[in-house]
Amino acid sequence: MKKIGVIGIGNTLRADDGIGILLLEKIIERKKEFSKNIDFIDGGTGGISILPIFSNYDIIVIVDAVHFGEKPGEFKWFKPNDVKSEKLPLEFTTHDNDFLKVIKLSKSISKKPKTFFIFGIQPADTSMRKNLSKILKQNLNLILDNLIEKIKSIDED
Amino acid sequence: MSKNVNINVQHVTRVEGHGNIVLDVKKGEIKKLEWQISEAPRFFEAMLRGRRYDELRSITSRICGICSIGHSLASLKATEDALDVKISEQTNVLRRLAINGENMQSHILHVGYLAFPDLLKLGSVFPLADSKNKDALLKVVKLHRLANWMSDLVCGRTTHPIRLSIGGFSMVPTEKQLLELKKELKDGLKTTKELANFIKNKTDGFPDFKRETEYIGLSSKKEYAFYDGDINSTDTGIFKDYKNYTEMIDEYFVPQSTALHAKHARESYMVGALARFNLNSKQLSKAGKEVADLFNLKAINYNPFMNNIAQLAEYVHNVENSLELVDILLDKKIKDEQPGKIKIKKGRGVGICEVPRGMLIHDYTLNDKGRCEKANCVIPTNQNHANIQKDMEEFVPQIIEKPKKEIELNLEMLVRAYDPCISCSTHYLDVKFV
Repeated sequence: MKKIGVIGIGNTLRADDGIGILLLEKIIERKKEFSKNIDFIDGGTGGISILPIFSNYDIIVIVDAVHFGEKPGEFKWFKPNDVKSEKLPLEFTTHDNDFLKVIKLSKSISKKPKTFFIFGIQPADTSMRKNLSKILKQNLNLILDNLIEKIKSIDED
Repeated sequence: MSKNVNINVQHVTRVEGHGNIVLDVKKGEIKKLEWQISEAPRFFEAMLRGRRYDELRSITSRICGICSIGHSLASLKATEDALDVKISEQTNVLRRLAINGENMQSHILHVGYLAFPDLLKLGSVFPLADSKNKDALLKVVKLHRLANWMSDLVCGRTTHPIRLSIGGFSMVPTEKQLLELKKELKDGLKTTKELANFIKNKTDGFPDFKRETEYIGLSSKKEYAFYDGDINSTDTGIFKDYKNYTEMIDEYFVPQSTALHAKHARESYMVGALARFNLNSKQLSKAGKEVADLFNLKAINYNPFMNNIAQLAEYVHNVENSLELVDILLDKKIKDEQPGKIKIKKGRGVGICEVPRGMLIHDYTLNDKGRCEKANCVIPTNQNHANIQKDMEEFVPQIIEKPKKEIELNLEMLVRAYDPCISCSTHYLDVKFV
């Protein structure tokens, strides 16, 4: 049976940056709806610290705030090859959070996971505060439903 | 010396956050040399004000993705100090195991993925995966996995722990899990020694630079201090009055930086693995001493580049020390414990522990309803900024005749040796669809 790891990434002290963690927490509340081959992992601020987690799984689903130039609250499913990072080419830091680089490194040292899915949510506000922006709060259930539906379909495929 | 050099490194690579190096040399004379922090302040202390005593740990654990266990422990110690909560011997041992796990995680990340490419002159970790050195990278990943797994086992999560609570643990590992951990730690010890030998044989070592400075960290008569101890200085010795730490640590602002700087007996001091080594090297474990000896690291060592080697020696020490701690837990039959009842009262508490980058202090004042009225967090990286600046001022005249690119690389390596964490937070991905 294929193993799936769903990793929420973000910092809940930086408003919408924490959307990945908040969605993960909401999914964990409904864990019984999912098969036992799926693990839900709080990846914190992510970066290279999550690298060793990847090879435990056949499929990795990353849930994170992603700037892709849409309206705040919009969300997109994509794979690493669909995008290029617009971040400065800063190389790695211990907690640099450009996980596209971590995925690249993972692929060069391990055959697993074979597939990465990224669920990106366009943030409105990533300033230092604990709560989500109004627009993301309004869209939270819609975003959560889409995420849950897709995870289930990845599992059934 | 009549050289002109102009270096402006915006955002030093392989360090966390935005730090810049500015060097302007005209006719051999240094006109400007600054280590600048341009990161926006984060106001964590303000976020704690008004929060309940039992929320402080979970909020502060999100300050940093790497030091979330350390922030949790400093936070718990401060809260327990304010509320006079005592912990059991088992909790004490488990917390030491937790702090070992975090130190191992952070040190192997820094040494393996960030500093090692400098030593091999590879520029980044990516060429490591494609080269004949791939085996060494796989060892790094293996040791990283061990550290993550141990943190998960003890704290309930790899990062942002959930089992650490006021007065104890909400859940503890089973005897079976501890036996499994013991096996993996023994294997990890062997792998770390192999990695240390590989690094020693493959590299020419670090720049031969020395600058006498003060080193500050915790020291304990019982052990190489991480979880607990008294503040100690290589200049002035033990400072027992931990609640009045501000008498010893003088934090101040400088115009070139948005981050605080700190000083004590001199213009600057250093915290972190090298500081701990310089203060407590006699208490390092046997294998830790072997790794230090392999690289000829002896206290007191005034070369900041050797912080990388002190980190490697500490990783081995943490593994050996964890083996001892696991044995204690097994001998005393680990069991679920109920933390005692907490009596809310007004008070101030200070919690200090050593986290990967140095001494971390949390200081809370609670009101009679148990809400936080005032908070102060003294972050290790801030304590190192002044020392980085002073190192640069002494290092530049020694390397000024080198080509510009080499000066730039040497200064970046110097900053990276401190393993600074300028900002641990914002992280959203910025992409364009292709």
